Amino acid sequence: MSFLFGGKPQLSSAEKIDAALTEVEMVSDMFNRLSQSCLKKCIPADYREGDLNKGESVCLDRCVAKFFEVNVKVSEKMQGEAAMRQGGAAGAGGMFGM
Amino acid sequence: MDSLNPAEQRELSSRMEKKQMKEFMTMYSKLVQRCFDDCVNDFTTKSLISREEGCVMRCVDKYLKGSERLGSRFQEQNAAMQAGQLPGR
Amino acid sequence: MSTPASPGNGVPEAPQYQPPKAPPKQNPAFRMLGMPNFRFKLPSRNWLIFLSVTGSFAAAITYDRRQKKAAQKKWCDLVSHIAQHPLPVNQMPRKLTIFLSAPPGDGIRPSREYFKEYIKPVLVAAAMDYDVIEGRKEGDVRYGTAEQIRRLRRKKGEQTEKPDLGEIDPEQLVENIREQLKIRPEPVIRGDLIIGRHTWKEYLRGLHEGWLGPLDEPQSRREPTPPSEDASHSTSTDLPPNDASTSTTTDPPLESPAENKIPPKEAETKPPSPPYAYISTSAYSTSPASPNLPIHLEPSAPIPHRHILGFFNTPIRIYRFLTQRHLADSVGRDTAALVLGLHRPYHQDSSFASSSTGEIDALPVTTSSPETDGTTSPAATVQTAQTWEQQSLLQEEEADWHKSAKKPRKDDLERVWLDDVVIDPRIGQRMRRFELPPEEEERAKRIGQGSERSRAVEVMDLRSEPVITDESQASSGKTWWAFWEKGKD
Repeated sequence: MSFLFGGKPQLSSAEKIDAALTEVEMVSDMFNRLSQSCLKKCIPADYREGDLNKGESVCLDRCVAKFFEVNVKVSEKMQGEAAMRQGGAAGAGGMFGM
Repeated sequence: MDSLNPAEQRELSSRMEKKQMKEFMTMYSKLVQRCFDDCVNDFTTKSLISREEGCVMRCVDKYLKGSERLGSRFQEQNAAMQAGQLPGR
Repeated sequence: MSTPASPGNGVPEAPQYQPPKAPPKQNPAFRMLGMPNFRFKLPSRNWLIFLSVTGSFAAAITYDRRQKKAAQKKWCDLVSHIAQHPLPVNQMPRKLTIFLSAPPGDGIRPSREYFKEYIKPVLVAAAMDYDVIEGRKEGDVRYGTAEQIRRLRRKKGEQTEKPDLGEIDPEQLVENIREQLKIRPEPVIRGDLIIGRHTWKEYLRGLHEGWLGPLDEPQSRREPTPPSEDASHSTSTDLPPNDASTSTTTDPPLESPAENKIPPKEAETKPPSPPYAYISTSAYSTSPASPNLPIHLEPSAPIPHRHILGFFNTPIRIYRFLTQRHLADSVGRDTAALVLGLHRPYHQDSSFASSSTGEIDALPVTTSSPETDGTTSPAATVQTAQTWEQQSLLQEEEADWHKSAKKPRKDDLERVWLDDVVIDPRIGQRMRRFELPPEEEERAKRIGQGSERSRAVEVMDLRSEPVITDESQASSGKTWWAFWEKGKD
């Protein structure tokens, strides 16, 4: 393999495709959830006309922005928790390890 | 993501096409269910009455337009978020 | 038992026997109803005083809040039909710019709350999108406004020394994607909403600086060493009284470093924030306007924001607390004017009306030439100066400002709040103001009285409609689609 050159290990092509597909899946899953939530919240079940009106459009725009913000905040918080837990575990294990 | 050579790219694009088809079918069935739930309430007759028909048409219109708008906002926000992450990495 | 009351006895007096009193005459109406013999009594004098004071205060507050809610609802109903207009998928809704700044002597939180309480409901009712330019201290809004205009000018292709930083700016990324997807803003005029006289002054200064000033920061301002004295002199040629204070504040860092804790070297490297203005007020008439200056600038809506501080002002504050309904009505009217979108040019007086000089008294304002420089002049000098409406708007707020705003600043930035407003005719003529058309005013009055309803259609919820499984459950034609069916079938 190409460990001689250092750096990241080369993934086989199947793995690379899988990684790409997983990323695309994650993004499209997020888009589906966002669609579902935002359409449910922002579009009242009136169906008087087939066009979106201004209120609904503004609501959808803001819904997307807020969804992303929530995404970021949740991931930050979870990273913080994971780091804390790892720090606790490493601190406990370090005494025996080294 | 590492760069892929042409063979891998072809494989990737064919798989993505299949996925997109599946997603499209899922979205279609969800839309049918949603519009049916909201619009169709009169079961005194076997075929759709004109009010329900109009309602279903407008419902589909509205949801497709809503999805389109959400798609464009999603693209913008995604790009902005990724750009924000890059300097941090 | 009765004992004779004779003083000579030496026996202590026993209480007199008194025959039992007859019960007070009962109200015959109560007697007929079978109710007990109950006499109405007023509470004691002290309780009466207490209850009347608290009761009247509570009643004043309750009445005021109800009227305030009714006034806000009236203005929201006037504009709520706009939220139901269709919007194509490839258009962004109309986006206003809100200019918000901390009032002199206070933080920005009161301004934010004022905006949220009085202005935001009307904007939300009409589904307006908005962008806020905030300012924490004097000069922030001026810098923000000027910088935005300069950014626009650079985008339109004017020559600038500043290197292009590429697309790190996330806003630029969003713009690029919108270009690709062909998403345009809605083709209506946008608008500027300015809250408070202090923000209004900064806005005007920033507007002039942006359109009349250079795109790059002038060299002389880069270091606050002796060249800065020239800079401070040039900005304050029209403020001799302040000149003394500015020159004394710049001199100590240079001459007596012992006085200042910061050594002069550090003072040189720290840039002033917000940065100095790129052009001074006296240089307006000689400076060329940007070639991209549009025929009409964005129409603006200045909103009054009276903010008073101080212990001895408590009675005035109590009065304002109890009369918020008038404020809600007038601010609602101004915001509805902005939302409905009709605008007119600012008025211009050719007489030397001295009403606009106001409290900024006796500051000798130097004017270069009367016809090109739109400054006001004290009533003593006879000049055909033109007074602009923009200069005298919202002026009564300056009386409310705390005295700390008039103290000299530690850094030698120009005092936008204390200076007179200087309007260059090229900018002044292009500014426009939102105004409510009279028929909308009439309609608002009728909506307030209840004789007219909002033009928005009520939204129904089809999900909560009952499911009809047999004929007996069919609706009796009360719903909106009954009319639809009558026409169709």
